[in-house]
Amino acid sequence: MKVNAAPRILLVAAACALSLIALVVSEALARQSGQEVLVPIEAIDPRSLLQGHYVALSLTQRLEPGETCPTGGELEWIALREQGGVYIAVGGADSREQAQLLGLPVKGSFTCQEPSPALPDADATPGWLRLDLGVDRFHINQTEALRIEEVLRAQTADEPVRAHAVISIGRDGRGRLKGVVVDGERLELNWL
Amino acid sequence: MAAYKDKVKQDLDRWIGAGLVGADQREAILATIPDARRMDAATALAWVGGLLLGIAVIAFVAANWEITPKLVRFAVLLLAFLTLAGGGAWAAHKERNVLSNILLMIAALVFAASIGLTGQIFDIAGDPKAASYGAGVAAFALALAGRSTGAAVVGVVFIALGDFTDRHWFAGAESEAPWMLVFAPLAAYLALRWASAPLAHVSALAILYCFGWFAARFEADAAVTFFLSIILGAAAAGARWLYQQDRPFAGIFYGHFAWGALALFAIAGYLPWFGGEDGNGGIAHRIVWLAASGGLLALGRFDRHGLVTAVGVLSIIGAICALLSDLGLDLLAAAGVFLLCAIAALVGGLILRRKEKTT
Repeated sequence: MKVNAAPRILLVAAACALSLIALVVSEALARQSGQEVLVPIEAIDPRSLLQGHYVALSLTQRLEPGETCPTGGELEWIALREQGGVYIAVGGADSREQAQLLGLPVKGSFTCQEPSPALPDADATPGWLRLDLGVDRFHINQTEALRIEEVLRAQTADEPVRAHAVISIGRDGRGRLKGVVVDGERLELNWL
Repeated sequence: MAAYKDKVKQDLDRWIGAGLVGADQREAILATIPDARRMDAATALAWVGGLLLGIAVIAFVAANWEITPKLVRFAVLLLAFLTLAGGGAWAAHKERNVLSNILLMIAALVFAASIGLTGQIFDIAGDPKAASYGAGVAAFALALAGRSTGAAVVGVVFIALGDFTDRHWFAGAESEAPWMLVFAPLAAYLALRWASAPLAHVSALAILYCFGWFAARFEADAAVTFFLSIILGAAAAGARWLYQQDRPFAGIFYGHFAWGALALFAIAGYLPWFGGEDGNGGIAHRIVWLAASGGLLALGRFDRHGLVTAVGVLSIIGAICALLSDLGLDLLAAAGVFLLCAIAALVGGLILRRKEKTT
């Protein structure tokens, strides 16, 4: 049976549109059903590209003097553990099972720099650990993005972290952004 | 084909003038040669306008992103895509093939933009490679459904973008196979089947990219690169045979495969053999390169193929530069090598001329 071009095109177009809808629905369901964790963020700035305004997120935890970098940052899984209401990376692993032995497993990698001790001619500097979970931006209107930026620019290294990303860790181990918390105010992603 | 018909017209007029053919047979003879499809100015403008419209839609949607609710933005994307695809289907139904082709090409572009914009609307952290592949596969599906060469070109471009995203070149056997290994031959097949020059160019370049990947996969070994250049040379010979059979657009593949084969051969001369340390094929390689370039130039002239001729000329220049570099600009040695090459070319030309006279 030969199908004419017109119905063929309509069938393919419908399949393409349905695949996009399926992507949105499945991602939303995974985001809703995942385990929610708070991860500290730093270095936020609003960007304006052709694709609209967004807040660039850097999932960064500070390492105080004396703390050391966890191992396995270059591996495919990260183990997170709760500490003082937020989740921090405690190590990397090759597989989900190995990461689960250390903490809550999430797909991703991390880079880390240890804090440097105080020297006769230099003060001690804190280190940092930067998570790469595939979450690097939060789309938001420009006004809100600029307001968040202002709050975070006022933040200093000696005071507690004022901004956190709300990440949902799904059954597949992927981290999905749910929103951000800035100075206790929660800005969540929604359907509208 | 048009050039061929023009030539036959001239010959016919000459033969009629000489009394070899009857004037009443002129039209009947010419009617046996099909007219080539030539793009007129209006069609070309329609293509450019269609492309610009697609870009304008993308820019407009992006510029007004903030003021529209998320679900409305998503609905706008889907509606834009479905409207364009629906328009393509309507045009195909009315047998307005050019319009259908243009609309499906724009629909493919809009769908590609929709993938990225949907990720942005709902903050879906996506894999750029998967997004490009998805856009490419959708474009190919639209192309196959509506026989759209424009959508097929968009498909090849997005598959290439997916292949180039996060690719580790020269990663040896660990290197992930590019999707182009499947889609480049498919695009070439469609180019020949649908007689599309743009698709032929794009698919020929995609095939060359696949050869480049094979060369890189085997860690750029001279033997492998040389072998690949021979395969590509054989492919060029096959395309030349099709070109001589007047298969439309086979000449495009002939030209691209010829320069690809020569480029791989030239590169092979600078790579180590079988994992060795020495990465220089030496003067022997340059002389063969020079001879091959001369042969290709002669072949290009013989076949009246502009690209092949141009490749032969450029390759000769490259081979001469490489040879001079190898000889350390020793003018006496250079003069000796070029004298030998010149004698070889002259002898070859004389043999060909004598053979031509005897047949």
